[in-house]
Amino acid sequence: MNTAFYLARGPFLYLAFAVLILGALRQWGLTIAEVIRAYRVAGDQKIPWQWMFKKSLGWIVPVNALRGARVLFTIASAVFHVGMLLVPLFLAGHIALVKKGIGLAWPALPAAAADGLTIAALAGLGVILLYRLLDKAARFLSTAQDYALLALCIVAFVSGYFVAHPAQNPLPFNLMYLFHLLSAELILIVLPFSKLCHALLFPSTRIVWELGWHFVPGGGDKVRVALGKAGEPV
Amino acid sequence: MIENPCILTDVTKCIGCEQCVAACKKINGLPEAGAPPRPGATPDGLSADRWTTVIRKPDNHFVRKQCRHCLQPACVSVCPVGALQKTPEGPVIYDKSICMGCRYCMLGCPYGIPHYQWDSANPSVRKCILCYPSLKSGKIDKPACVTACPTQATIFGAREEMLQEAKRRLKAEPSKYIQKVWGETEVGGTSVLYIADISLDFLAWNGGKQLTDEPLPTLTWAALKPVPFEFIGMGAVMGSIYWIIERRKKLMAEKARENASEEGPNGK
Amino acid sequence: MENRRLFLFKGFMWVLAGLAAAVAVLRFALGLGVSTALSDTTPWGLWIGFDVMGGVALAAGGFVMAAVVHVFHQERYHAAARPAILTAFLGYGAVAVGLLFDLGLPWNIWHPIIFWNPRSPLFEVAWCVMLYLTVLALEIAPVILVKTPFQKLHGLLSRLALPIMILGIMLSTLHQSSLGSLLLIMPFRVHPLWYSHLLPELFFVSAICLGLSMVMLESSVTSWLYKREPEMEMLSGLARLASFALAFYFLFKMVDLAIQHKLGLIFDGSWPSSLFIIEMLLSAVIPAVLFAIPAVRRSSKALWFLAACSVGGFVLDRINASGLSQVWATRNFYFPAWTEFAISLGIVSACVLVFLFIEEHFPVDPHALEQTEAERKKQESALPAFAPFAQVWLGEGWRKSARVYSFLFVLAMAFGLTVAPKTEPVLQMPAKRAVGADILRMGPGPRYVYFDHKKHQDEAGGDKSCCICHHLHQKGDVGTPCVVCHQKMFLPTNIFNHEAHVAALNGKASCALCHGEAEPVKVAPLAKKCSECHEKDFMAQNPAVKVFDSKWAPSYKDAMHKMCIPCHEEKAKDPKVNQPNLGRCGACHDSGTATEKAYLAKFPDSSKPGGVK
Repeated sequence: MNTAFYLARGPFLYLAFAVLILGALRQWGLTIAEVIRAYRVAGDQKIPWQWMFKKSLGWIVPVNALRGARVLFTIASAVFHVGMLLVPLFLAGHIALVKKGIGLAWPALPAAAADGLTIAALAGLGVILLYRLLDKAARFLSTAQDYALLALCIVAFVSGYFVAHPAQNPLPFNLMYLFHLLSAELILIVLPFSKLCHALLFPSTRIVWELGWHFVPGGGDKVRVALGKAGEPV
Repeated sequence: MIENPCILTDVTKCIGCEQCVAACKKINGLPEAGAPPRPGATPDGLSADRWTTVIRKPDNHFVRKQCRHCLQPACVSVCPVGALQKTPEGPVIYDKSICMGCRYCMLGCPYGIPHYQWDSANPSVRKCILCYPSLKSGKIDKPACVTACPTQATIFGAREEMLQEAKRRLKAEPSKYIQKVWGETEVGGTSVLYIADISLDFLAWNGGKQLTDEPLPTLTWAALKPVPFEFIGMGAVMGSIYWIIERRKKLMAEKARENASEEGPNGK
Repeated sequence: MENRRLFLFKGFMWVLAGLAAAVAVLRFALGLGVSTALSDTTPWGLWIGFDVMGGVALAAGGFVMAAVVHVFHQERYHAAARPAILTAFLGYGAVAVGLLFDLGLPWNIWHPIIFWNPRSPLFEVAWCVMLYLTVLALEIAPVILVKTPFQKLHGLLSRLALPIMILGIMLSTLHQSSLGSLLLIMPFRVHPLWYSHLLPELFFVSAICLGLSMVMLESSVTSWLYKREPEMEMLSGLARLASFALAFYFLFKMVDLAIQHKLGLIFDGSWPSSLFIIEMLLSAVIPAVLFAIPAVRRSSKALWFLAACSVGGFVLDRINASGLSQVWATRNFYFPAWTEFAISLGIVSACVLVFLFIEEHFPVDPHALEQTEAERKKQESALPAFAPFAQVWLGEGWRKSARVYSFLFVLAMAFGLTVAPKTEPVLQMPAKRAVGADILRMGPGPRYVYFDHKKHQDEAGGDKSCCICHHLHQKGDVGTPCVVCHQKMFLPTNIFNHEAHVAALNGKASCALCHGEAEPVKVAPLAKKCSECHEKDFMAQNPAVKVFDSKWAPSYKDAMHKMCIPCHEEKAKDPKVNQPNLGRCGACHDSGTATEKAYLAKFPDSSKPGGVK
């Protein structure tokens, strides 16, 4: 137990941040290279950069999606993302640890707000999970990765809540703390290599999408020829 | 500053109080408590933060160890960029702005004197410089360690004088001393001399068994002197081999062609 | 189907490169002390012995093959010449990179260009390596330029090829032998079995042998990697040449030892002698004998193995001469830190990757290029591949390689950054318990201070005065160095007894005393500093022990001095004590007082402290 605790607080934490930073650099590098390559082979090189930028910003606040079919899901997802961003970065305890470690500090969320956001994010996670399980199309498209990442986020939030409220904690404090550390570190480690890397790549998704519309006219036919399925309906 | 400055240490007079170490640290601005020793630190106690030390030997013998300031220093001869220099007066000094940190000097020194700042990302080679800057500017007339010695176990003067003094002491009390001045002739002579009642061979690597009175730099110079001739010789040999073989091939080809042209018409 | 062997091999190379990249960050940020096991007794280690000494020797194939093919006109070895020269170029590049790591002030690596000391063999080596690297670049340039638009330059360099080759051979002769001259100045360090006035000549001859073996090894390895037929005719010819060269080297070495009357040392049973026997068997004897047998020369596996054996033996020779045999004199067994191995292996794998890249894309070996291009075409029609967990399409060709290899590189580098040491190793002196608690040991040497424990205890106030001197030591403990407790302060268990504090401060109600009311998480890093409560306690009782911020925890000596000296100095001024010399060094350090002699007389046995004379 002590060894596990030592590893989770020392080397494993270090590893998590090293993987996150290096993995992010790698992912950005690859993406930039791919974008440049796609731009070069694009048939129509007039890309509406400004419009794309505005659109990207617009998607960060998904107000338009509220008129869509999956309103509850949209709201849950947005709430979860707000919690996921604010709580880890602006929790007083986390900031205190960072200050201890590297001397940096920034203003923290009030404890009550952090609690509220945590519970909201957990509720959001629950809705997302239910949606995945109940909606036919979503269940069909879900992979093991999707469930694993959801579970990881739930563990991180639940254990984090109990670490901050030891009075309600059903388990030994150190064990709960260990769960929190390990789940959070695991999220950081898989972040650059799984679908979570949308956290790193969200500014570029619109560019990739847009470039897709600028390929050579009739490119689809060429693909079909290459696959040996010319003439077949799509 | 005097020519050929020299330190004579009389081991029989040293009480091991290490005032010399303290004085050395003070004048050179070295930290009082240096970095803790690394595995493999030299056992004599010298380090990058301790340029002189007192080695304790059985039966209350104390031997001060420091740079010997050889008359023909190996460290100066091996330094590829000349960061270690033998000053015209005598002390061997170090210029960090030239050094590239190859540490060849540390291997070349038969006494294991130059030490390295292993704990630094911008390290220097460090060793006793016989207080050269302060002596040169006239701020002091003796090295700090000599001034600090409470028993005059270590004294300072021109090398000839010190040698005379050492021999005088050996003669005056022949039963007290071993009849040898350490540093008089080994590796061509050094500017730090010792007289003692115990053998001081341990100051050199491997008990000084491989050291002779011949200066160490002559060992490499013997191999380096013919280098330009070797260089040109190798070129000449390679060039002529190429030329000879090429010519032979050409001649053979010509012959073959002649034979062919001679035989050609007959064949028809 | 793609070449799985090649793929795994390259992946492994990228992992090694990633580890090395991590160590490199720490090496340049924190210095040599943290990243190596080097020390003042062993200033040159693996990076010099293997990367520089071994690297230059391993690259000898370049000049040997240049001489064999272009000067001696042995055209049948032509296929081996270009890869050998490419290896030499990369090898010298590796030497330069290795030096950047090993030099304490790598940004001054160019200094030999303007600061001259022609009497230093290292100066000559530096110049030769610089010049030869340029020459090798000129030799290899036509291969690269042929695929670029610079055709004029290509033509010019091709016409100048021969003089450039000869210049390369001249330079190689010089610095291969000068590496031997490096060691001439240290007869007191290099073991007599390796030391000789003919070291330069021995190094030159062994470089030729190693060059031949290395060319064979490299040709065998590349044909294995790319699943090609080994070029047996060429290899067996080289083996024949090598057997002559190796036999000559062996005889040369033996005659040299005989002239110096050192033959007896080979069999004196000491460990350098065993090392010497192993080295000679591996490098010269076994390969020379077996290469001479025609049946062996026809077996590609035997050639592979023997070439590797010889290469290993000669690298061992360089390591022995420049380091391992010197343990004989220094008595300090240096074993490289894993970080040193990581850098060495990383540099080698980077070179291998560049070598494979050039061989796959440029006409180094025309057959090889044809084959790899055919394979590349085949691969383009292969099915798309997906990453296992992330389910990302990996792309085709080099894009897939970039994704997979960068993933391995990043993981290896992050792992390396995590496990690489961030603090210098410190000589752990075994905490010796002073027998009878009356001798204070000072390090591993025969130094000690006689300390009358009972007298001090009585004067300080009897049984309850322990903590005046003993700080926070465990009960009954005497000699534990400070670092044992103070190295991992972030661990609550290491020095701080939480339960005892809770009990003493009246149970659970007292948490807020240290943890504060507002703080959400009650863990050690957020708690109050010990000194906030205890500094005054310590200061009142013992003004000598201070809690201070410094890079190093105070040594045992510092702790002792800071505790003893102020008290002694105070007492020396006290007329009642009447010991004016009490504050001087000699009061403790000058051995030979009457009390001490009486004490030591009780321990005549040398295993007891009395044995310390």
